[in-house]
Amino acid sequence: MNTQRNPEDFSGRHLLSRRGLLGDMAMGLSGIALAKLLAEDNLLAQDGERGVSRQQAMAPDIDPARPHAARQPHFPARASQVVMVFCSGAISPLDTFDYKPELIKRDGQPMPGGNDLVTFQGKQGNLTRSPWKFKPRGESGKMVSELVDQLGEHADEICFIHSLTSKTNTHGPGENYMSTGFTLDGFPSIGAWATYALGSEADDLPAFVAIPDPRGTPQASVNNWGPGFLPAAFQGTDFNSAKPIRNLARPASISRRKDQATRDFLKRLNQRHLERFPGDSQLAARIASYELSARMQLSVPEVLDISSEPAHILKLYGADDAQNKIKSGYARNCILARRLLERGVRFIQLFNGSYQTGGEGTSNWDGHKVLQKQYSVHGPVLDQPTAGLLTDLGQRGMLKDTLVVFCSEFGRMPTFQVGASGRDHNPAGFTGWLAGAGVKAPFTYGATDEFGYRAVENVATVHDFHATILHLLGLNHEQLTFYHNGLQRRLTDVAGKVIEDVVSG
Amino acid sequence: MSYFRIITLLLVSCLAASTAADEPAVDFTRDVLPILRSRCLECHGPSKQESGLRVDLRSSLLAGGDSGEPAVLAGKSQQSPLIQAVAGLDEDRLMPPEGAPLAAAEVEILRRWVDQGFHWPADFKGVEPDQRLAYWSFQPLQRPGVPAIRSSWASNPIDQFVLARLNEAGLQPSAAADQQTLLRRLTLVLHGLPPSLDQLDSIAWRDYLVQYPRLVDSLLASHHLGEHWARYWLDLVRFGETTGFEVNRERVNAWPYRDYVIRALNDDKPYDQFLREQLAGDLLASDTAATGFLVAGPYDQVKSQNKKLTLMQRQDELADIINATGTTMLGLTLGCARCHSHKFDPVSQRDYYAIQAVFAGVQHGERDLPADPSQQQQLANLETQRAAVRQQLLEFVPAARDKLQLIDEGQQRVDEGRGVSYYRPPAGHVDNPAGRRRGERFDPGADDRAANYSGGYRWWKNEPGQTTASYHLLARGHFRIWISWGNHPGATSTARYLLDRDGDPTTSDDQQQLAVIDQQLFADRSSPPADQQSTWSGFKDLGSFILEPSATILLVAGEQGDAVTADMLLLEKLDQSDSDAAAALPRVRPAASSGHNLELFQPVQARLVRFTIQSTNNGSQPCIDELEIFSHGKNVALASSGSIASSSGNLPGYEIHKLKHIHDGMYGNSHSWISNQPGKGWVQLQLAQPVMIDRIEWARDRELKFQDRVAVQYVIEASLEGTTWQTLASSNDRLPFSASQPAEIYQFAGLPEADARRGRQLQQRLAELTARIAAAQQSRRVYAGVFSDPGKTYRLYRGDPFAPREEVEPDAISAFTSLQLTSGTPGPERRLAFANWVIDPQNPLTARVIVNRLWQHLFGVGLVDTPSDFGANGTQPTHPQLLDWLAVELIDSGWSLKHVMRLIVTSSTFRQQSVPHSRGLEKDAASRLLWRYPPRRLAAEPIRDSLLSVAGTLDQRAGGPGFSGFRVEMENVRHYFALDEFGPQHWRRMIYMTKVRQEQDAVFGLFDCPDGSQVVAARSRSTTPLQALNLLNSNFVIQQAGLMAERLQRMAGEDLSEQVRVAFQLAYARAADKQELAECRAFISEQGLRAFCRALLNSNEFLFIP
Repeated sequence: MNTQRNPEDFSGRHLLSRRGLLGDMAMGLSGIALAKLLAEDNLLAQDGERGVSRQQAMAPDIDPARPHAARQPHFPARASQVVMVFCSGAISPLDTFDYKPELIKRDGQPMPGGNDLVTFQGKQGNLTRSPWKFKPRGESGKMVSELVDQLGEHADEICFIHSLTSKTNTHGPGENYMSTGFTLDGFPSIGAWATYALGSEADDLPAFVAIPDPRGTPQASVNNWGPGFLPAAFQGTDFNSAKPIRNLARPASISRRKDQATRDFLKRLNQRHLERFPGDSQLAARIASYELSARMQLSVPEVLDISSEPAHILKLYGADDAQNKIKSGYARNCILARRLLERGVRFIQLFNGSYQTGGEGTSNWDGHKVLQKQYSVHGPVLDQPTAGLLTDLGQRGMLKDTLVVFCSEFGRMPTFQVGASGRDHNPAGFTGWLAGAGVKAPFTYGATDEFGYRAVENVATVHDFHATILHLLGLNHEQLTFYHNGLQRRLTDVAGKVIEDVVSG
Repeated sequence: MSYFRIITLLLVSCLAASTAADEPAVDFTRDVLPILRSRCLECHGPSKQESGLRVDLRSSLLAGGDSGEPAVLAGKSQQSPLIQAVAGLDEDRLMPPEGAPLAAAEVEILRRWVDQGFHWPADFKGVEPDQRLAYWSFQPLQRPGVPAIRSSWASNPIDQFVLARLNEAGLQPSAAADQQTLLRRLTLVLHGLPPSLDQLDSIAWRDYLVQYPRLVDSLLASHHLGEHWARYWLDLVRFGETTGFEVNRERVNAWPYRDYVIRALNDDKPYDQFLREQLAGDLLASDTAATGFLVAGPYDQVKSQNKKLTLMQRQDELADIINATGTTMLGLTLGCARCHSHKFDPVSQRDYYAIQAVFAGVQHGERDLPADPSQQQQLANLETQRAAVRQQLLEFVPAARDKLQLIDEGQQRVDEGRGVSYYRPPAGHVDNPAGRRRGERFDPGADDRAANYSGGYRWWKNEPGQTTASYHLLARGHFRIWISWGNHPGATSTARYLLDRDGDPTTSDDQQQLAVIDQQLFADRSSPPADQQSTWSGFKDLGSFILEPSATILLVAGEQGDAVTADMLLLEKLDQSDSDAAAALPRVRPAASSGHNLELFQPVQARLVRFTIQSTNNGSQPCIDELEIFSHGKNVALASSGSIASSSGNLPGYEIHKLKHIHDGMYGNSHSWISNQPGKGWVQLQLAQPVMIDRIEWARDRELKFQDRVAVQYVIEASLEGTTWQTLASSNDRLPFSASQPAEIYQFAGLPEADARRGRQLQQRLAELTARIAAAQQSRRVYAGVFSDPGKTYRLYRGDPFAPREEVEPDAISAFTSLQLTSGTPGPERRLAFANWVIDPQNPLTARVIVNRLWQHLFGVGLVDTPSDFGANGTQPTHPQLLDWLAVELIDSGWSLKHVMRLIVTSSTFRQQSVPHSRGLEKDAASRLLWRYPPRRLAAEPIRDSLLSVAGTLDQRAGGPGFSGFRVEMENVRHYFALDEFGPQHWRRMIYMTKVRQEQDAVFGLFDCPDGSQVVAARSRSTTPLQALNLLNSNFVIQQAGLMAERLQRMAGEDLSEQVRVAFQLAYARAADKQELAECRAFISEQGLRAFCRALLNSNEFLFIP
């Protein structure tokens, strides 16, 4: 054992929980490290008096020199990787996956009990049916709208959750909530939690990748993939072919030879220095990080190089669509997501829609004013490429280990706004779905009321949604914690319940 | 239990209560305590607290158990759950749950006890004290004895505490670090910068014991100390310069709080005062930006129409303040008690809302600070300097003379008036091209030509011999006539100008040809450069003439060319003394402007001054915000000087536009006079006595918010007695009003070059002073919170604003104290009382928490490694007695932080070397016992600052608005794009980089920089490949490596060994050994100095505190 563990590398608190360690010797620590930790325990004593130990935290065992090394989950995992499709701007369930015949029947009538409803922008008008037709899909006969026609064809592989609820009806806090479990800024994102717990199978790529939409970053921007108070090592790295990783490449002004010579010289400087501080793991970790960075300089351009994909794959995703640049851009992002998964990246957030430019709903799903016109633009961008991703993952057998999550910050009203042809924000009931590893499908969980306004059956929170995703990754959401500012913090705050029904038997 | 039965019981209970006044008083010790002991304490006492409730503690009964619902409401037995439970009002919650219920008499005693006011003996603190209060950090502070260990190693008591602990663990301290290592360690931990070459040279290392404390003192006295240590505080208080949340708008006036913190640390402001100012500085004499602390956090500006969510946002804001206060100052996680009583610490939910009541009047926002005396003095100095510069500049203001008369070609003649008649409609109007060259729109003129007064001209298709336009002069007397034209493409070379004395173009015997002009040339017959067209000719002198009012000047189209143009004509009145021959260029005054006008004239004796307006720029009633009349540089027009105003009439109905505002000394639309007549009116001032005056200043709106109602045709006259009037100034010699081309008050054209240069320098100085004055005034506007009536505060069940429970009065934590405040106490006094409790030397937490933070930043980890949680969920100190000893030292030194820092860095403990050894690592891997000094990676800011420092590019300017590391996209939702290219404007210390929430600096953000969204007590120190890529490849580092290479070359020339020597001194503060020297020389000669610097700046030794 030659790694010295300095708990301060990661926080003001020991990252490695003693209790977790004692409980699981199989995690690969040799006896000497254990002895050190026990010695520390003795120094600090009175462990039992501390609140933390009452919580049975199972913090992961992280080697400072290799923070991204793959780690074991709490219990056998159903899924080992996640791709989370995030529809920014709040996609309308009522025009996609939540079929409400009553809405068609009562089109143009006031919503019973909806008279005094005040939502985000103000007064609500009458119930309004979707401009798109719904039709039964697959063997399950699930009704899905023609707006997402090709996704609809995957209905038999999907587990729909129609009863999600959010705490907020504002985009920024809503995105925060869906991505971090808190409406406030500054909390770690779900991908950061997952990589903190599990590391990554890819040692030459970032463990957690956020792929921004071709139109730009989402409303809450980097909050969606930020590390919050987790170590920076676990934050998402955002890139796609149009927006490469900053400073990845050596500067054009420096030749390859000179660059290599400089790296070699630097390594010599560092090794001589290390000789003066034998066994210092922080120093060793920095040396290792330079070696890894060199490998990343090769592997990232390689994974971004979609030109190596055959024509039929480009066609499957719609990446060959010369007419619709946004769609082909998003399709390339979907292909990139698959390539990253193939190389072992743990968590991918794939954004569809960006922050507001050019007015509400023009660049994302925020259809307040002219829903039909705008969704006619956004639908085709989302549909074929995302469906292509499902098909492709399926045909490669990757859905056995990969969990596909589809979500948005909240939903939209069954009514149109007074004086507009669009729907206002609705956090009271909306749809997300899961597909792939460990997920029961075809399956529908929970329901909204007859108009699709409020979740009424098996009401679920975003915390429940998160708890379920972590569960599928083999993680107990109550035990995956990090000490920050007086609390063992969790992705699920003090709430969340795994939705057991959606987990396959 | 049936509903009916509850009602019945309540009625019975109410009846009983109504007679309570006649009943004998219940005594707690005699009557109540025996019942509690025998029937309740087994489950709700010191050893066991079912549902978190203890009935032998007043605070617990008031706060209730886990639910947060109070068990007792004083005076209201029927609503008190305790009484309901023992009386069996709810069968499901009958207490005690087992055994016989309480006897009716017992219930009655308890009921009366509650109704009679719930009296509790002050000295009764429970059958046994609250175990939670027995926690180490809540114990009173006492100076512990210093362990009696004899050791030559120990140089102050800190070392004795450390040594005692090491001995217990069977460890020894390490040898002292060498002096260069120590110097580098000191400057890095105190300043966040590597030692300068001067610092390395200046230390007389021979007399170490004398020199070292001196070195420490000088480092503690440097302003770099505050610049480095403020970062720790700003992390703690979640300081940011954008709002965060969705829109993330700029918070432009947040930086004064950052400067306040830096200054406080540099001045060694007593820590108690530092805290008090941040909590309640608005109530103290020295109100500064300190209360920026309260509102340093993020703020959600997007309010929805959903009331519930808006109320929740307000709860979140207050929670942010409470949480920041608790963790930063007390090391307590108060925020946990928002929804339920604290799980580990003696903080009830009721306490939380009592503290919320303390802060309930605080709102996010900016306010104006009263300027402190030094600021006021500085502002006054600047104003004086500006006045002096303005006085000097007066010589460059063209005097108002009734000698010049401009006729613009665009000024079409109306009726019999002055102006231009067109004989056929012009083909078009052309603007002079924008630019500063001769004849271009912004040509400032030169000593041989006038500035461009014109801006543009009209043109006609050339019809040879046709009269095209006539200027009607309406002048009587001796005048010089100046003419100008436009240099139009294809302009005629033979335009003729005729003087038509009778103004009748059909009669030719009175006509006189004045000039034949080539309109393609400038007035001096030089030719515009080939790339220029549509320029202004400048004025050409047509000669001097005795004129009658009927005289006109005719423009006759030439024989050649495609176009003929017309532009301004200028009449200059000649005195007897003016020679016919010497025609100096006339100086025309700028157009009247809305923002400021100067009228300079020969001094005259005057008592009355009348300002008569003939027209305004938009035809509305004229407005003047202030009319100032100067005598020997002093404004004698002020009402306060005894002058009396009168006018032709005043716009009725507006308090802000009364006549009195014409001379009230206040500028701007809100203190202005407006006439009651569209386009005209007069206003007159009668001075207290006749005085010599030489200058008048006036404006429509000096605050520049309004541009209408400007007097563009006016005359100003003066009189001694009111019968004979003399014209002082008028609009006649001013250029036509133009809103798009603001007037330049000062004119330098036509002056000798030396004068013009002096004038321009003065003008630049004026601009600088004006900017500095604006900045000085601006700096008084600070994002430091606005304070309103706190209103009422209620305990909220589970933190839900729609589930308010009992009203709560402002207070601190009830287990520790009572502030004796009521709901009538004003907000600021609530905060001051709370602050005084925080900084009370008896408060067990405050001093312990801050000395631990000092230790943390000097050693990397605190004695308590949960620095913002000294509650039961935190960890215990490694050296409890040392912590207490330091805390007492702090208080006894008058809360001097520098005193404690000095003690620590002069200890032998701090001066140890950092080299590890296996025995130490085995026993204490994290070096918490300090058998060595623990080395660690620098944080983001010191890395960036160090890079700039060794490259020799660090801009040491301190304070003031920061620089931005981002390009901002000004959408409703702001987007920040981290810069890739950097220049000297970005080379200040990183503490001065505008702190944008959510977004990180492109290069250094990845080094665990918090973004200010959450309070951060201890940064993580992660190591990632992306960090490596940023340091290797970013433009920032490549640029600085290049600049460092240049610096080495400047200092060491081409001598490779000398280059290596200097580089090692700069980056590592040490000499290179032989082998290093050889390797480095070889590398430099092969790959060059830049590559060498790039490697050094990436090396571990450069990035670690040794």
